[in-house]
Amino acid sequence: MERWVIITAIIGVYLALTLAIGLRAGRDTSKSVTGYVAGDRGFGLLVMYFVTGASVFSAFAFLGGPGWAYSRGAAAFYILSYGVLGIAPWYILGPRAARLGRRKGFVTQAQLLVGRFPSRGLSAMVALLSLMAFIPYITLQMRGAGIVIEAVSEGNIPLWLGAAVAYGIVVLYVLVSGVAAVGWTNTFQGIFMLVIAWVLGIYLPIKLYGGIGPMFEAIQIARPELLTVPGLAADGNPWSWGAYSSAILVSAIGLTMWPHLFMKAFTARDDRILRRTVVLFPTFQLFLIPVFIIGFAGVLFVDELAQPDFILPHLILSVDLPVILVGLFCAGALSASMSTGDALLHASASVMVEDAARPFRAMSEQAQRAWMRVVVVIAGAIAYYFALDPDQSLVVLLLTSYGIIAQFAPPIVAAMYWRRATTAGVVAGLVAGSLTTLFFFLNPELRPWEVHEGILGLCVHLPVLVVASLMTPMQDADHVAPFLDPDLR
Amino acid sequence: MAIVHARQAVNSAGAAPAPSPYNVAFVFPSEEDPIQLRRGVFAFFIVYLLAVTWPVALPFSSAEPFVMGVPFSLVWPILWIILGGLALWLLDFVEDR
Repeated sequence: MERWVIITAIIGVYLALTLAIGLRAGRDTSKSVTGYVAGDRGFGLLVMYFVTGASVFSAFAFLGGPGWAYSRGAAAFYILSYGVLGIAPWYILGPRAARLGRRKGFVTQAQLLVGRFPSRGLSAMVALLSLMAFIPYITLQMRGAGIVIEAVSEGNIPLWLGAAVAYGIVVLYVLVSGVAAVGWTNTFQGIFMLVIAWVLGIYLPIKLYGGIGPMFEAIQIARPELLTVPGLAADGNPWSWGAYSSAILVSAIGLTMWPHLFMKAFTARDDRILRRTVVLFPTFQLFLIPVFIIGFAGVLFVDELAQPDFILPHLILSVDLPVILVGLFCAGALSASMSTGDALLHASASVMVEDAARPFRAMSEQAQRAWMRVVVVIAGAIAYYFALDPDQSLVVLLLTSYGIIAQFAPPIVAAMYWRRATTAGVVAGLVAGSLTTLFFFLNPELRPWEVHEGILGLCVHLPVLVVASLMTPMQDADHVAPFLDPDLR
Repeated sequence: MAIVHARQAVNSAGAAPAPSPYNVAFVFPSEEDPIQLRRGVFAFFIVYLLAVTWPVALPFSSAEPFVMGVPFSLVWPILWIILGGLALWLLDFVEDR
């Protein structure tokens, strides 16, 4: 039997196992919207840990990370630098949002915002912006899955078919089991991919260079520019400090503000679990180290790849590994892709129905769940369409998403901490910040010092929010009080 | 901001805030002063952000010296991840007592 057939069969077994876990997970949750969106608020520490970790360990990290280390060197270190910075505010924000959610029945980030700043338009705007950020992120995960399957099947299963099969399975278990499937498949996949990352990260440098130290010494002699921060830009010229530093800042802010992270806060059983999840999060960041080492291992070993994101599967297939191990390694990469993609698909559906549709039209619980399933399929189809574009880098897709999501930071902080903030101020700030981000995204040559468009958006967003809030009448004190309650600390 | 509101809550109740025995931001605080600890951890994360971005990161951006075979430019963010983890653990440990 041909090697690629055995590898593909192993991946098939892995996908079947994931599907079984996903379908089984939903049996114990209620059939309510809270059951589908927030898992009846019953997630424990183990599941929360891996659900949060999956936001780091995505196809972006598992394939895009090595791709950047291989092609852009130290530029990839920005990915290491922002994670802990991004999750730290969650130690305060997470439990506070969760308590508000329990008190007022919120299951999405926009509901929290609109609870403080009543406006159906704001709700719809947050939902649409969330979807605009989710789509590139889901696209990234799908593309990652397709890359892995195309590479290991030696082109016999093309990217479009690999992505369709992997995400067909994701869509199926999210449709049936909702967030419970996301939680338990993330746990299974998380354990799997962490083991794979460390085994490969240690094995490949030893196999190819005689060790991690000799590998970096060889790169320092042959390509020293790859080991000096801020590394290289996509065109091979030095990356700027402005772009590197602002990528860290916008990613840290964006990580804290991801709508699906808020939704997972509403799934936690209690605040202790949320805080423990934050404390344990840096361990996930450390798991990124072997991922970069894998990318560096390819620098002197692989001639320039047309698509650097293929470096991980390319290396696995190039070194002389037993076929079963190759299959398991590729399944690990698929885990990274699917564990993030499922959470995002689920979040897209929840946000669009709860925040964009329900404020405008009354729906029964049954209708809400039905519509969420429809949106899961639609969001998956849109992302799939973009995933087939070969010119998109995984990391660039992610940075685009973060620029949009970072705009949620001022309204969220204002909702929970600033008494004087008003609905008009928040809407004005969000519109101004989002339009500024869009403007600089479309005109990157106008960005000063190559600063990320999301940061430039925030530079406009913040003053507009403050000034417009101060110029409009204060909200009723009784309405504001529950959101600023010190007991929420 | 949470700190400010907690302080306001104490003041509005008519009680004077207890004097802090600590004069610097980052010392191991007692259970009676969790606000001080949160402030210290907040300051730490500002330093963390500065340390990994321009211009503070400039002197730590080159590959040499190598630390156990790993370039210093990679060791630097790893060091901050570990320190960040310890800071969060300390905060949780003290607040959980």
